[in-house]
Amino acid sequence: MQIEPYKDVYYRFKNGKPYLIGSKCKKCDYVGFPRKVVCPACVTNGSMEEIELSRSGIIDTFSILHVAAPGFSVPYAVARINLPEGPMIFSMMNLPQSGRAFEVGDKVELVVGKIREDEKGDEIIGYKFQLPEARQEGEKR
Amino acid sequence: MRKVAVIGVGLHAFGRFLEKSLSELGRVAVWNAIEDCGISLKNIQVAYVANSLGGLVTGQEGIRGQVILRDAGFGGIPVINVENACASGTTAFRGAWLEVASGACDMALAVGVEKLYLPKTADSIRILSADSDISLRDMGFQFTAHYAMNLRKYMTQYGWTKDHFAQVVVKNSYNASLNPYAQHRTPLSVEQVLKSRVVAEPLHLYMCASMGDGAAAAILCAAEEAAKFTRKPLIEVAACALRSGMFKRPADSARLNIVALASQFAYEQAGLGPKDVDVAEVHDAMAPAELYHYEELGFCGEGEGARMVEEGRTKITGDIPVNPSGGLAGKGHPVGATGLAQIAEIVWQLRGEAGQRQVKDPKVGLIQTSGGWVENDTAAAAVVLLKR
Repeated sequence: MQIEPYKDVYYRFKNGKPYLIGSKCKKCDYVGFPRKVVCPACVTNGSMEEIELSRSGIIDTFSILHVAAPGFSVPYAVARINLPEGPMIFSMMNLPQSGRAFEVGDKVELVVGKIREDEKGDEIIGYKFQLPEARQEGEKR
Repeated sequence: MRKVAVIGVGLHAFGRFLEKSLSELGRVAVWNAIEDCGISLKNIQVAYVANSLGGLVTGQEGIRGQVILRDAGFGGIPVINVENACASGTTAFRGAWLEVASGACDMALAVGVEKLYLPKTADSIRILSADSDISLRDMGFQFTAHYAMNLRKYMTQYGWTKDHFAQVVVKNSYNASLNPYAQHRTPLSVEQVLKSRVVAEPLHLYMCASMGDGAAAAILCAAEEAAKFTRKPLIEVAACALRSGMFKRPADSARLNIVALASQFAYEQAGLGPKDVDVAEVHDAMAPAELYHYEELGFCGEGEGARMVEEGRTKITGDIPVNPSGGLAGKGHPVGATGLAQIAEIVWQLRGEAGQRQVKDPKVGLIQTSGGWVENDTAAAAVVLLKR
């Protein structure tokens, strides 16, 4: 079974494609992810409005992990992604099944897929990023 | 605010102690600190007890401090339970310092205790990762990955290499080999470090702190009263800074992050600068992180950390020795005890009691502890300056 605890919290679908739910301050234009109510830049309560963030970003840095908490299968990759609107977000990455590995500065795109398994063996689904050109495994549309 | 002195410090050795309870580890550290200064337990008027993950590890979710101190012989005095991830011990130290500095009491105890080893390492990783925002943990965040990502940025921007990272481990594993309280007491070579398995690219196993069990304690006293209790050199708290992350987009420069800001605040409070620091204990949960802490603390310019280790400047014999105890990766990192163990090492160094690890005649020592991770920033950043 697949469980989607992060859908409508961190991401939504539009025309079959996922986007991340950010927020933008009405007063100072600060853009944050995940959504906030109080703007952390100008510190105004209730000034943050929901916005749709870009589906692609640039890898600021990444790591490939060979140890993990229960439920994660190794190796798995994580990265910090810079989005054009400003936020830098932590995300798991889909490792390319063929072709070259990713590098700092690569453009990557948002997908939704398996993050881990819970104690019962159900798949926990969430947002991830991947190289656009690579063939990927486990992508959910 | 009154002047405050650290008059006693003590540790329970760091390592793997599956059979020992939090209380047993804590009792040993507390009584070592009491015997270090020769006071009576009854002189202690308040206790701050640091522990981060004992609730998850043992099931004792509440009042861990009271349970731990009961077995050490305490009763009646106020006990304050402190949790601030890896900075829990330093945060407890700050509480004890404020009690004495404010005049609320003359003598206070800070003790940190932690047990992280479980039969399955994966369970320890899951529990340890609860010191980050767990919504990130559940999407794959781990502290090894966090440090690995930070260090990859420096490799990309400044040409730091895995060889530099291994040189830090060579230095700190040698220091730890001289430390009777350390978890890992085997000096390692560059080749051994780079041949150990990759844990989180670009980090290898021997670059990373293991899970750890242990305890550390410090006794603080009003400086004007201290001579009544101890004949040892008085070690004064020159500054004690604690900051929480900004939780916004991260700053581009190391000079602007929360660790750097906490250190700037501490230097101002003490009326000292980075050049006055003679010895430092910094938070190298993954040993190479030491390199960027050098610049956050003002010991070198941006990107110059790798050159500091290349030139041997941070060895025990260098001009700014860092982590003479072995650091977190060498000495061990039982989370809640870590900050107080850093304090203990600097106290020993300033008194001239550090044995084979002794730095030449230090007068000012710095302690830096980073705790937890929440959305692009360290959750708790502490910097303490001690002087003789």
